[in-house]
Amino acid sequence: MRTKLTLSLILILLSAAASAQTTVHGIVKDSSGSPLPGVGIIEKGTTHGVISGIDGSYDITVASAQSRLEFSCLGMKTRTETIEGRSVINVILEDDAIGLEEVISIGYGSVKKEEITTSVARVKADSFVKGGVSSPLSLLQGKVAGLGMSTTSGDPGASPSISFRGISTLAASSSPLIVIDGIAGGSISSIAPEDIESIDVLKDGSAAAIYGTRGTNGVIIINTRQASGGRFEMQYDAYAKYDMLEGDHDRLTAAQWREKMSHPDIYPGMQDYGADTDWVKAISRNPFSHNHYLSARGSMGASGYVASANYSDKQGIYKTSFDKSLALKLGIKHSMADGKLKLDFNLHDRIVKHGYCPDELYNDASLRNPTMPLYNEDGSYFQTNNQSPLCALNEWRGINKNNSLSTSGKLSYEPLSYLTLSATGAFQSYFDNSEWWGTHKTYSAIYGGEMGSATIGSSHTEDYTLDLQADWAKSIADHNISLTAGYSYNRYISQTFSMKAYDLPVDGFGVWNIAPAGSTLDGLSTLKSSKWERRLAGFYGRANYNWRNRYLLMASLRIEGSSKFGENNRWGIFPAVSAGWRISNEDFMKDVSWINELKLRAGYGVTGTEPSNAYSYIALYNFNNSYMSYVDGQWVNGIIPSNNPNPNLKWEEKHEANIGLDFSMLDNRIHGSIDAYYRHTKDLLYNYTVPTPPNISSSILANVGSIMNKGIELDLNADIIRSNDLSLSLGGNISFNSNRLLKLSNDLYTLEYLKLGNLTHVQTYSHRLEEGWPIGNFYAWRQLGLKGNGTSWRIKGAENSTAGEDQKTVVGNGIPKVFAGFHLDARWKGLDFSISFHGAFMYQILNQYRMMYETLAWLQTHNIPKKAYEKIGDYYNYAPSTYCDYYIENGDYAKLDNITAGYTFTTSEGSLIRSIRAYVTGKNLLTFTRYSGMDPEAVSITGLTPGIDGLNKYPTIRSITAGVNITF
Amino acid sequence: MRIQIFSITTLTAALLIAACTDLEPNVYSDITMDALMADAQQSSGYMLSPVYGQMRWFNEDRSVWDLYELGTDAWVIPINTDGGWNDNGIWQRLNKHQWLVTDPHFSEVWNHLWYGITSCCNRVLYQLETAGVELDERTIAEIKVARAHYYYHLLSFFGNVPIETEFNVPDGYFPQTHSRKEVYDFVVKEIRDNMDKLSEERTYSRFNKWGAKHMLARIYLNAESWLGPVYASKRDSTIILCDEIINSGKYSLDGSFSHVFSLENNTSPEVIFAIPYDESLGAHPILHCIYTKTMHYQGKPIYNASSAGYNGLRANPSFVEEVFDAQESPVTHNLIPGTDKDRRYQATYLMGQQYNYVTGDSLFFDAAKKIPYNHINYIASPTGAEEFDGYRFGKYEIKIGQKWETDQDWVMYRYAETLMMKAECLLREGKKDDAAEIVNFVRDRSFDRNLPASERTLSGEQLAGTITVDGIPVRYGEFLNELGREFAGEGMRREQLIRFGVYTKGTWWGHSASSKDYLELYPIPADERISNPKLAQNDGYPN
Repeated sequence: MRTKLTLSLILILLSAAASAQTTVHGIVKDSSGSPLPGVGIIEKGTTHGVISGIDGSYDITVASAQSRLEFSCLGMKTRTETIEGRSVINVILEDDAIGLEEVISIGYGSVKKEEITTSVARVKADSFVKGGVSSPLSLLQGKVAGLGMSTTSGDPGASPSISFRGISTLAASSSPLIVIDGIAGGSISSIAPEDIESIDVLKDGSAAAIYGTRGTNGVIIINTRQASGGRFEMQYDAYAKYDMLEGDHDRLTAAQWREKMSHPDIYPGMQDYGADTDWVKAISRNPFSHNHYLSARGSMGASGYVASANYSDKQGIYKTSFDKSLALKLGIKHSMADGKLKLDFNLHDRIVKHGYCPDELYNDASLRNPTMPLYNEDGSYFQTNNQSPLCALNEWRGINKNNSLSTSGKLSYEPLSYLTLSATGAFQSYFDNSEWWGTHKTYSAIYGGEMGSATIGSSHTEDYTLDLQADWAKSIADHNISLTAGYSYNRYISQTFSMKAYDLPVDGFGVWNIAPAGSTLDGLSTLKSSKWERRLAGFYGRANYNWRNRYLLMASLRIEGSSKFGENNRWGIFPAVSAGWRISNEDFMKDVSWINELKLRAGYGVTGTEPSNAYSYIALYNFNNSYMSYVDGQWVNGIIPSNNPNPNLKWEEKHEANIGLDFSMLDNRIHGSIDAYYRHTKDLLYNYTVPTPPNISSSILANVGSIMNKGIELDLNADIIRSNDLSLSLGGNISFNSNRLLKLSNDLYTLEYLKLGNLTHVQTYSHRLEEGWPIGNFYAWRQLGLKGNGTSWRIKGAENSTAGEDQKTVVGNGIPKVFAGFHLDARWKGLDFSISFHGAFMYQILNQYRMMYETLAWLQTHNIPKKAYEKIGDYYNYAPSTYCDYYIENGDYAKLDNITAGYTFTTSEGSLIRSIRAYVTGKNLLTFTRYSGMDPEAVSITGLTPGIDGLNKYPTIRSITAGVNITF
Repeated sequence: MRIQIFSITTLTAALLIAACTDLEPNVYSDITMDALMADAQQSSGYMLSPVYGQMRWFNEDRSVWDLYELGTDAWVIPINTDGGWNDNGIWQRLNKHQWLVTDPHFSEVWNHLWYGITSCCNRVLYQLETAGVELDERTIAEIKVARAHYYYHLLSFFGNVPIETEFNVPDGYFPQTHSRKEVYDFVVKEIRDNMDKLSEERTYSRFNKWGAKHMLARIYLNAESWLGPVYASKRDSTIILCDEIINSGKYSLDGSFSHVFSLENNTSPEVIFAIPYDESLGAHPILHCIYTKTMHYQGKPIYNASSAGYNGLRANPSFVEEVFDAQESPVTHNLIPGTDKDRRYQATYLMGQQYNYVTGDSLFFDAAKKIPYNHINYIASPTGAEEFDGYRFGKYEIKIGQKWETDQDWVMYRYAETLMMKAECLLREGKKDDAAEIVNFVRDRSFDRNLPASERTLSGEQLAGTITVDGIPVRYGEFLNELGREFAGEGMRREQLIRFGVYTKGTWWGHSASSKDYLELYPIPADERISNPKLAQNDGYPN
């Protein structure tokens, strides 16, 4: 009986299936009515499915009229339709809710912008610095209040130097933590600037504390273009750039040189070599660069992809300097199991070939006697007592090839609507190979011993990250709670090797055949290699609470251990708490219609810094050939301690309090924020002098001092005109910072003050730092004019004697107290226009070029500045180069850094090209400053010796860029 | 639902438990203490190497050699006309005896010497013992004598310093100053207790019995000038030690004065203890004073060298003129040919016109050939020395193809000094003719034997008399001059001037007498006193 029944049931089912097979077709559109291609349409409960075509249409044969169809597309809410006999089913898919509101990355997660309780700034792609940048970080120049940036080199591959809310460390690095697509410690060199969609900057301690140990100097979170749903989109961007020197030293031409020579009583000993040479011109050019970027993204059902390639070919001002790169990106997202399981895969790879020359070429060329010829009659370089910059340019060559790979995969599982578990693995690798060689024609080959030399080296770093995380979020009545807990492990390995050979038998090998080099045959070629690693492990948690969108609370904790500390001090605890009050959502504000958003924030957080050396706490020994000895007829290598270990080394801790206000008013036309902070760093790591004996060497890394930074940041934007055809907006930011060294000594380690910054040419130090002082004080003599017929300076306090240390005093400070940025954006129909300024104020610069050469003491050997030929007071200056306040200048500047004009062409509906924009950008066009050097912005403002305008630097550039953006 | 939550919780917990918290870093390119201790037996040779290796630092720029020679009448580093060697006046202050407690020479020397004691000797002794490596009595004695060698220089320069023999000291321990007398007693005892345990064979670059005795003889010889007249009694001990070396028969005078400083001086029978350098193996630090510090920066062609010098160190013109029996033209400041009967004059200095080694052509400074490359015994001014002013240190043979790295071996203790120490004691004991006999024995090789005896020998009367040296009457002045001629530039001049009472009272080129006796000790470096409050400053210096 039972068998019969079963059999009949099967028969019934089979017949039903056969009879009910039916076809359904339709069009899938998004909420704006555009057709959606690539939508996956699956018959529920089967593996059978199709994908919508370019016009959003689909056609599917299903088993029965009662079947259900699931429409899924990445970035869209999945929708299920029961056929119920229909043959045409048109579907509109809605955007996934998360895509609708702007969310800001806060580290291991993101929140809606209005729910943020800490100080976070977002810069979106359309606000980035325009017109070709040498580093992705340069995109932020002038855009974020509190972020001080200076571009200290015009090298086409240079990175800017960054300071963030002042200087809050002594020995450790001051560069911020870079997070790329959620991977902490991301490699900025692996991505193309065009791939960046937005950058979030975590400014205050309560925001950065989730990154614990690496967050002290701020966190820059870079969000690259992600795979998204919707129709296929392709984008092509290209630009060409033409550069020129931004400034030039005011120096004599050959004719002017000869004119000065006619006054040998005042200007004795000048030589005329008979030629008329512009040395700067001989080594430099107006470089031309071009850049291409192609990207595509789209989706195939539950999978989305993005891929891009960026090729860049940049020339440098120096004739042999260049930077070529190819950056590739691939991103894939896939959603499975009703969207409960998601896979996210990202790969960035950037290959660079960088040609470099000695940075000092410009300085050497500008200082060279303009009557010297470029070449001797026999075609060799004209060079007597020192190297001709032309020889240095042509006969010394450096090439660095590197490859930055960054890849990550994230698997997240959403077992319950309010719970997500995720695992992220990331691997980053940086490989570089550098070559540096000189030919038989170099100065040192002709006048020295090494007939050609070749140095080849390589470095490789690996960075492994594993993050495991659980996110829980629930709303119970008016209470919105979200919790995050996770674990993170990071391992970083660095290895290098290098080889040097000299006495190359012929030119032409470069570094690529060092076996026959004389030094190799003699056993004198050098070989070096080394390797080290660092490990970090952390447990982190965060709770966000929000009551009726009025009261916001966030608390986080990170417990982190680093292999850079001994067992007793290995783990550090980094808590943070912050709160926000959305005043505008209160009932009593209901009637205040002109205020759209008003939020008061306050936060407190602790972050840590580890020493830069991986093994400072372990006693290490090594071979050192400085301690070899000759024992019984043989040289025996020596093992000596390679460090002075400090087993008590611990985390440097920064405690930061921040209070801020976000506002938006007048129909959101005016919006901005204001923040005030106080940061206190204690247990500062620094190298202290310890007595020998009993210590074996006189320096040890220890946690001793403390430092304070405080400041205010204001960001304000106004949309003055907002109409379809015309828009005008203004924006600006300004920040003030001041800092003070609170403590430098304790019971064990004593330093009265720090002498910092070695001015080798005048053999003294530039800066001094004492307890109670701000960082960056220039410490020098005050001059009262020249004396002794101009042969020396009259120094205040030693008017009739020889000046010494006792006469030195603070003569300025090299850290800008104020940074500001301003921009204006306007659009009229297809025409867009933007202009931006940035500046730094209230600080001083040591003009080293003047200090060194603005004296007739260098008359015979150098083409000194024109100003040196003028009298100072009653005398001509014959004094040796002297470090005194005469050469300390105000550095204040405002730069018209960018003007861009563009036009967007309209295209007809349905054409292949969706939009075309063409633009022209001018960068670094104008600098308003009283600083007499070439470019006040090219002066480093970071570290403990800020404000020194370096002598031997690659000069900075001004550029004109023309480009197109085409979207398909 | 319940099962789901349970499984999630379990999964999460499992992941977190599996989470790795291993934070012990691998050390790849260094030797950890554990590895060092485990391998101690095998690597004890490497660990002991720095005992001597550190001594190469003595001749680094701004190190021990500078403090023995640059504050004396023999050598000077003036400021060049192009401002070179200004260095904030540190070289000027050395010559003028106006040094500051903060001058870098003092901390460099302090650190180099203490590193030799604490790291190269005390630490190695402690670690090898801890690791259970049994050193034989001779090796331990040798380390202790080498350590005494570092202490001897501290005793000579700074006088009042700590005495440290232990490596394993408690945290926060600050060594304290001991009086010069205590340091002297310690050094003497260390050498006395250990010297007879050393090898009696010639060891060249290691301390043997004779090297230790020579060092002790030198310490005794100086004791009177360091600690007072009562130590004149140590002359007997000096003579006994010197006689022991002489009677050992292990050493003899080299037939050629120049050979002692040649590239082959390891074959010289005269060298008792040397600090060897090698242009590839023992390449760093370099032997600075013999070439790089003194050679002009265009000097490469003279030796077909691959590296030139820094044009710093020059012979003090007044010393050359006064000490050596030779005449320079008052016009050209060059040697009048034939007036130098003492071969040591030309063997000590690089002087006169220089030539291209390959072509033989005369060298010039400038392309127009107006300024000849000619070293003269004249320096225009202490703050404005012209290119080729001053004779240069030329005692050591320079290699054809000389590199920046030096291949020469520095002679620390040599037999001629053994003899001269004995002669000095005899002279001071009133046995002037016995002294003269030794002096003439040493002088003999430096003169043409065809010369009349009066031109190549010195009499006891001459040696015992009082003559003017550096502008003041000096008893045994001729003996002091003879020391100057024989040992110029060998790192002994400061002690010689102090022994003969000339150091603070004499006047020489660029230097006027200060008559401040406290200058016979250098100051304890200011930085050290900041980090160690238990260090006392030497008398006379600002506290």
